Amino acid sequence: MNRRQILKYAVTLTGTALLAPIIGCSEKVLPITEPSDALLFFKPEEFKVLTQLMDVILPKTDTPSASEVKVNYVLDQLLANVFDLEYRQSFTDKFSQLSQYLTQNNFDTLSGSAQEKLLTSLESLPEAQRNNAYWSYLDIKQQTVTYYLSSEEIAENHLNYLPVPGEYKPCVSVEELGNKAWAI
Amino acid sequence: MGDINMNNKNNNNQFDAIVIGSGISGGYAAMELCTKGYKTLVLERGRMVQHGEYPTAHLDTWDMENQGKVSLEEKETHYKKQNRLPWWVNEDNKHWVNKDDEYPYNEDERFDWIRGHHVGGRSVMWGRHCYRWSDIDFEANKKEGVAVDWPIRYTDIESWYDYVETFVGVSGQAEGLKQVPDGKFLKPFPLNCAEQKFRDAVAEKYPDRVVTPGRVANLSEYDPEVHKGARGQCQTRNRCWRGCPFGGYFSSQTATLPVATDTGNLTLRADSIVMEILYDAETKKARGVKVKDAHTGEIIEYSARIIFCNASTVGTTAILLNSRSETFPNGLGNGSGELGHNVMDHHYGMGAMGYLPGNEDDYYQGRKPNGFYIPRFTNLDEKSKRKDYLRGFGYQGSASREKNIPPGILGKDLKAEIFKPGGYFISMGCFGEILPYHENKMYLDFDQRDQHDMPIITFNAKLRENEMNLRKDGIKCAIEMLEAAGVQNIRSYDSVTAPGACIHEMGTARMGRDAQTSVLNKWNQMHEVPNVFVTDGACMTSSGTQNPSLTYMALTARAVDYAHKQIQAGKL
Repeated sequence: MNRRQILKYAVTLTGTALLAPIIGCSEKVLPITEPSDALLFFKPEEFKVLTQLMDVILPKTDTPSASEVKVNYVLDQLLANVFDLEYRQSFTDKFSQLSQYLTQNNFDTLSGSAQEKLLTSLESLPEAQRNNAYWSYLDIKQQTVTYYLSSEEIAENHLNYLPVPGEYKPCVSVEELGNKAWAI
Repeated sequence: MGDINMNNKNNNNQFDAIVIGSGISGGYAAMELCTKGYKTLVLERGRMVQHGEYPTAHLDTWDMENQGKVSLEEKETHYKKQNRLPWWVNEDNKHWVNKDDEYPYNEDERFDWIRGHHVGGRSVMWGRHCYRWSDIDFEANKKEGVAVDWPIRYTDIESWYDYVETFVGVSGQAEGLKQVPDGKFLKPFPLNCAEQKFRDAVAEKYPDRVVTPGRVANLSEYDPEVHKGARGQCQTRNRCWRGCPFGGYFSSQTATLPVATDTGNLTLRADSIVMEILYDAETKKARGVKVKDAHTGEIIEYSARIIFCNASTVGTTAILLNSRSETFPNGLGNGSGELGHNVMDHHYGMGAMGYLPGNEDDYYQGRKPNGFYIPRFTNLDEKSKRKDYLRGFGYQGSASREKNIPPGILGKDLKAEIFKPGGYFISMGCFGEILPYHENKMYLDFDQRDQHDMPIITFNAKLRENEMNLRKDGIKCAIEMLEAAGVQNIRSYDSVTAPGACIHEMGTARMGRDAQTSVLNKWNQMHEVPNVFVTDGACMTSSGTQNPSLTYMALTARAVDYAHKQIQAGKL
């Protein structure tokens, strides 16, 4: 739990292509503790799909992409260490169907906007047609945003972060707070 | 300021008073005894923790492994029972939670005994809600013919509530309710805009249901003259259960033990397991206690004029049951046979939640250490009387803005949304009373022993028909209140908890008017052993619906005052 432990981004990992968008983006080394860069749950090819997916959900804009703040590694770690076995299995089953769906639709060679379109159409499936690919996507989207917002980089720099608030104010206008959510 | 004294220079192991346990009531007993001039030994079976020794107090989610969650492997290895409350064992508070593999107990019926052995006990990680009991509670057993009558009424304890609340510092809002009388409140942590809207909507449709700011032992106003020890202004971080470096909430470490230390009369010995209280058949009093050092295994005897049992409901009764003598073969002061019986708790795991539309431009600043509270509103009088169950239930809840993860969008569009606050989500959980059933009990299995060679505590208690009927109404009323406020997508839940799970264990050495049917008299004094007092949750004759710690503290201060007067009068 040493928060100042610094890990470099570019480390040994099979599939260097995966890290391409991260390397080169900046010289900056973000301070993180966990997760480490060794995969604990996903196979490298699964992780590649996951990372790609997360970065379509939250791409790099004027704020970092999902993988730049290591949301992919957070999920890998939680699946390996924390979630119960039943959920792990159900995640794996559903995720494999989602991967299949993405492969069938040549997800990794599509343009950015076509990737977005494919996922949007998956999410808008009518209730009767919602399959495991749908549920997997919804779950991953939810978790991607959650861990993104609870990363140090995003919480401290892109949300309202007030570790020691002092006085409690019950009603403040959102505008006054820059239209931003509280980090914690 | 604030360091707890550990001087144990007393060579003859002789003290004026011994307090077993350093949690919320033990700390209070120690302070009251020390300030009255008694050389007091506090025995704590767990490790020493000084104020400030809170290793996770400043960690954010990203500073902790696994987003602050404990790994499955660790839970399976160490916290199989403690983790039955799926929200309880986390990276930020697990150092306050006993490992089940080190502290075994047995169950004939499931009992979730949730605890941590360390100086301060559960006062370090308690929920901090403080509500007075009223005569609706003190008279209930008698009126309904349940168990035995409380030997006290509200007038007996009212001034002690005043006394304790003033020192503890309870933030709250006066409401003039007979079921939870107003106290000496610091200003409340106010309801946020959405919660206020909920309060108004509920009041309009159900005038007898009051949504009020939770009354909590957090200093919304700090007065160093009154809030002595190592206290300070609450910084609204809402990380109380990690231990507060600001002393923003009341615990033994921040309040009672430092004050006791300042008197020069306190000796605190950690890692000291009280095996039994030693009885002297000639004087018909307890002469002291037998203690085992948790590390060295050394056995030591300490003697004192009076003994206060504050080892927690279950801990205290286990010690009493293990204190067997010729006079008391079934446990100290157990002539009535009630010792270990009538174990109670509150039950919960039921409630409702949903989305509260509106208030888009209203936000809050700070993380207040409470939400709202809805005091009990059924079976208060003829008008609110129920046919399907006795007693009642209250609620704790909150409304706060969720993460904003809109459906149907992703990419840049999604990123444009997620940094904004989401809508208000409101959730309320119901806490119900459990009746004192003689059949609900704990006992010692003398054939099985723990690592310290102490008999294994065993539970045989369960919820019964009254509790189950009450739950149904608790859920129904929650839903209708949310509906009254226009809450959308309301979901209710009913996950029946085992006794113990509310961490409000009570009973097992009840107060009463008759030595034949109760263990303690109206002064929390053992009917049969006058120099032994029990002022933790074990003394309770019924469980009420209110969070009980405030009442333990008030009864403790009252009992010390009584003992002191008896000693002065030469009667003890």
